[in-house]
Amino acid sequence: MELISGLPEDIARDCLIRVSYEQFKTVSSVCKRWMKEVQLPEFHRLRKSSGHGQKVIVMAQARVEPDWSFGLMKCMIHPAYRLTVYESDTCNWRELPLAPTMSSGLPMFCQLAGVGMDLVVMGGWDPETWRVSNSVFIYNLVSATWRRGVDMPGGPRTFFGCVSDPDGMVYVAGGHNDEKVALRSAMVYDVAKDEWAMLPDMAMGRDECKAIFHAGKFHVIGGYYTEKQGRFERSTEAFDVATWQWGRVEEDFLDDGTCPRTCVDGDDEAVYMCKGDDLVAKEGSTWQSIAKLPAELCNIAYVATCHGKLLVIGSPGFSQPNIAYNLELKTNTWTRLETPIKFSGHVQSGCYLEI
Amino acid sequence: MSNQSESPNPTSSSNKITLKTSDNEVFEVEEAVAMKFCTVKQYFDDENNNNVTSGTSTTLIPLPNVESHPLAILITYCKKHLEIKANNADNKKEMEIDMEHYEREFLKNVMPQELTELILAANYLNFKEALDFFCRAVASAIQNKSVEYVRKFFGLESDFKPGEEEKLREEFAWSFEGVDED
Repeated sequence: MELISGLPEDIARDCLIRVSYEQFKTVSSVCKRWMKEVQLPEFHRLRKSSGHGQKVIVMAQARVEPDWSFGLMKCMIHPAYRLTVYESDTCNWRELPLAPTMSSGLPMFCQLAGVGMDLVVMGGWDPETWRVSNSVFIYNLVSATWRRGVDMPGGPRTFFGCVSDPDGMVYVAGGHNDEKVALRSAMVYDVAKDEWAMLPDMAMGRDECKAIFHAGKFHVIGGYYTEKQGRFERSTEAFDVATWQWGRVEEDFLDDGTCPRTCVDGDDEAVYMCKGDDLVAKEGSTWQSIAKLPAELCNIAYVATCHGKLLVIGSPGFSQPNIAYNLELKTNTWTRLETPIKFSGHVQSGCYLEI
Repeated sequence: MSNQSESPNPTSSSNKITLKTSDNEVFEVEEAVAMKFCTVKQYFDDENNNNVTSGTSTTLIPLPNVESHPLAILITYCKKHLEIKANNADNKKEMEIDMEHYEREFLKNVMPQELTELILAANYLNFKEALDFFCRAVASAIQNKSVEYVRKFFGLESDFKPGEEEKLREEFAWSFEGVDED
């Protein structure tokens, strides 16, 4: 059966790779041949290599409840979190469906990682019982369906660092257990095989650390060990996948002992983060300011790298709507993005995906 | 090689090239237009190389795989494409806006069956911008449409078993919200 009647297969495929990702489930529902087509790895390789992959940031974002009695938009005290998508090419925002079991929203403080066409949702607190969950949920953006992954091993763990690499692996490190003990342990999840493996321990426990994949290594930045509750370390350590070893601890990686959660890996050689009024970059040994943060961005909620741009989301003050900005890294110029009020909720975590 | 034809020099652009379709229609088109069709350009270049001594070319280029109907549409599209490009030579953004506007209007007059014809012709002529545009047009026929609409548009029938189809509907229930009317 022809993919599209009257067209040679390669041209028909050239048509279908241009379909927007949120239409994949429509394509899949048309007939078996089309369903098979959008599931082929070759289809997605071609889509990306021909520049038709869509670059998106998926976020765990608070649902905004309009509180009309005060004539203001206010977040609830315990907002429900849902998955939102910012599409960098079109500047559109949309919402992804949650798993049927997530009727009260995403687990609070869950972490997200993107691998191929899969979005991995890990850990967090059950929004109803506040119990720490080690669950792994995977949303496939092609089939638009949820599945469960094998639970994260090693008991309850929250506020860990987590990031994916280009080879379909998700790395997890640090955080704390249910006795608020900072964890040195780290592990890796193979999404395709649905298997976890432990890594050697880090040099120190790192609660509330940030994980980035940078220069081919899994870096765990900052955090604090149990005795130092909330007083952040400046050090970092990196895991070399090839040698299966942690490198030596780099003591003065951060300038200040601050929360490292705005640290991101650029697509270039640099690491970026927000520091005071500045957006700073470290390329080599020193941090340098590359741009002043827009005045509206007082409280930074989330930073992500997206194809040569930084997406920075923040608000002018507590419980005020978040606004998104783009920083073009070539020219260091800011663009204020249209942020619909529906998508102005607090962002807890997120990840980049090319679909 | 197609880049050269994007900025044709004024003297050569007034030259005409004659194209003959499979249904024996003859089209006389400006060289700048014909050079956007890489297949034609290749033929033309080869001919010129073989006939360096013959002076002005009066070649008639046969297109055995293209009918007159899609060719006429492609020529119109190509002329407009070049015109918009020339009008906005120094403003890429404006060019894109104009082009988008033109393409939207263009599609209003194209029937689904015609789209296939146009894709095949653009593919044979190796007219890259048009091929990309028509492929995008096919993809956009799916945007925000119901599954039934897409099946009808592409002349496809469901080969799912009744149970499978129902299951899909259930899984994707949320995705059938917010689709355009057929």
